[in-house]
Amino acid sequence: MSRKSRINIAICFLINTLFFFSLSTANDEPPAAEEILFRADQVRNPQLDYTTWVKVTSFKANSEPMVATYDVMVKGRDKTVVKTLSPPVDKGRILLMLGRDLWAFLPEVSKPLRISLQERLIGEVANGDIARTNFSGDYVSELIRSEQIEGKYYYVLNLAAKTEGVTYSKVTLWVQKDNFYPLKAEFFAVSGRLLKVCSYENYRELAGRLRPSRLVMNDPIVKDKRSIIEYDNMAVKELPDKYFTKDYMKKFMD
Amino acid sequence: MRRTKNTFAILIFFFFFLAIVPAVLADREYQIAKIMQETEAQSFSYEYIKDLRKKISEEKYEAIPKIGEKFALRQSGTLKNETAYRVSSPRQFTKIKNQLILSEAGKISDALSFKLSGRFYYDAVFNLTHSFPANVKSDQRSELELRDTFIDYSYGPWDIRLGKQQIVWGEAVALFFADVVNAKDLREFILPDFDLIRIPEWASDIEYSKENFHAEFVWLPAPQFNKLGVTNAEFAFPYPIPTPTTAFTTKDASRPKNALDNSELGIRLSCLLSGWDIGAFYLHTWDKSPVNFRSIQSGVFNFFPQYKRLEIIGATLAKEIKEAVLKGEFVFNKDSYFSIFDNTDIDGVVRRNFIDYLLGLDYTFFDKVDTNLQFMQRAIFNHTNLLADNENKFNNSLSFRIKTDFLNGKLEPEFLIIASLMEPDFLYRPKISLKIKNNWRLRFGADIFQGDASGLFGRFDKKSRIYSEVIYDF
Repeated sequence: MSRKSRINIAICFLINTLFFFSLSTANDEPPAAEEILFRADQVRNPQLDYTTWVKVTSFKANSEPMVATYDVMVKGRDKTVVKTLSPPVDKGRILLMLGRDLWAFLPEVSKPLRISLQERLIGEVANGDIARTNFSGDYVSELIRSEQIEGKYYYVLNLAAKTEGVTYSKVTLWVQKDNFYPLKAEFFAVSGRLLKVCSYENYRELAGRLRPSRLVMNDPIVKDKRSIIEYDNMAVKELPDKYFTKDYMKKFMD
Repeated sequence: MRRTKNTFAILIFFFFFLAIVPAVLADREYQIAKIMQETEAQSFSYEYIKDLRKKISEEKYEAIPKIGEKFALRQSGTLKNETAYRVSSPRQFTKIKNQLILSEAGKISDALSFKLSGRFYYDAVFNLTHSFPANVKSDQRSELELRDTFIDYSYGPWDIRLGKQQIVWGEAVALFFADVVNAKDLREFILPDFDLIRIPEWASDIEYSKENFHAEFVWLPAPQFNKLGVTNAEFAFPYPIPTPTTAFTTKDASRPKNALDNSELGIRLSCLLSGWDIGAFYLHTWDKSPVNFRSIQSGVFNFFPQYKRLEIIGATLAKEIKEAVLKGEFVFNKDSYFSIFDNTDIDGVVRRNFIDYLLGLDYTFFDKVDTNLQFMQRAIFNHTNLLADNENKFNNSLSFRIKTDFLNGKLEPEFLIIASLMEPDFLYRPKISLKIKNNWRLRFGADIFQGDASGLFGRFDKKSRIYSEVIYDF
């Protein structure tokens, strides 16, 4: 082998080494924060229209737990209908959310009434907790660190609300590195006060893939105050636009 | 004197409330203690919550028909006792009404569904007391009626509802303004729940929805008319007589026949633009209350009420502005009939255009206290000072409602006041609602009327009452 050939082989080897080294270095780079968030959203709920049953159990110290069930329909980024199924005393209450615009249909009034974001219709959880909880689109994300918790590795994202209309002003979200499963989230008010701590639990098959079927929301300020949101019968199904109009709400009551 | 009586009524109500609430709370504490004992939990520890969470997730969901599931049937009902006690002299029970509402709703296919519902009530006050004459007893003691009963058919953006139904337009809280389609049962004034005040009517309601636009066409082939309190009833319909001592006679209003010419037609268009929810409607209808034509013979007023056609044009709006919700309703009535206190007038009525409008604002304080403030005005065109009931050229009034909840929403206090700005004329409605377990609701409240006899509320100045309602939902 000539000296020139040896040099060529050495150069090729060097180039290959550099290429694979650069490739392996690139694989160690975390994905962009937006991608992590998008993939975590895909885990949390279907990105297409879907229906689901939701059970909310609210706990307060010195008070009996309250259980309510809802039939929820979600379309697009910000259209949600929440129909109260139980308890019987609240049955027939319907909430329509079109972004920031909300309507409530109460059986005793029998007509849709425009309500503000502050009015609560679904017990102790915020209206936005039951609506589609897509973070991407509503929040600007930033990867702030990685963490190891109980032997698993997580991305920790800082999310800042893009507009005032979203339920929480700031969110810190833990997402598992290898499968983008969200682990927990901390929700903050505009003032920076921690409002809720949410853990995503009980992963099981919902609408074709493993998703968290239980959200446990703890109130860090009021001791023993927490809400458990459980999802079941989640199904992807194309839903007509007209379902998400205030004039259609009366049809759901019946 | 009147104010003293009303203050006395309010005091009775609150003493009643003070007696009830501790008992309910004590019972709740007992129930909680029992649960804690059963679960051997001294506090809401992590283990307790974990265990409870497990128990809850093991519970089966209620059998809910899936979307697309065929022949799904749902039964529901309400059993209700309403008891009212008049606190103005002569004090007495004015209502011991027991009612059962049953409904069955079902889905035949994705496009076709139906509802069948009915109500029966029996008011025991007419048998347990002898305060009301036979005509009131026969009118209000018991009733069996078909309520909302219809079929729904859906085809693309079109929806058709055929049958007996409530067609509800408008944005107002606690008042009827643009809610003009259905006749109303006003035998208990405007005090019952609104879905029970509206009389379901046979109608076809065709709706078209496309993105943010909505159109609705209604046709009511067999118009219904307001049910009004008969003479000597607790909330009797007032006849326009110059003084309470004026002698008068009256006949039953003759109702138009069920004919195509007598049917009612309406159209409503609405859209959502940049958060503005705006709508406009036109309704070719009947004045749902009779026009009191009269003649005078030997000083006696003879009323011969008749139903007359009415053309209504209206508009509604609603918009969230910052954290408040602005609402508005505008209703123009063309050539409506007004009674007139002019003995030289041949039939005692004149025709005038008038507009009713309302502007309201909803605001929630501290994420907990819901409030609603509404300003209402009626403006009568070509006004004359001789209109009955002191109808001014402009009649202004206000309503204010405040509502909150405690104990995880189980206890809901509410207060509503509606007041005229033109004269002393008030309706105060304090109310406490309690939810007990999953099926029971209790309501305690008062309806306090105050004002001159010519006022909308003042005419019932001696009818102020306290009441209770026990409701079982299933």
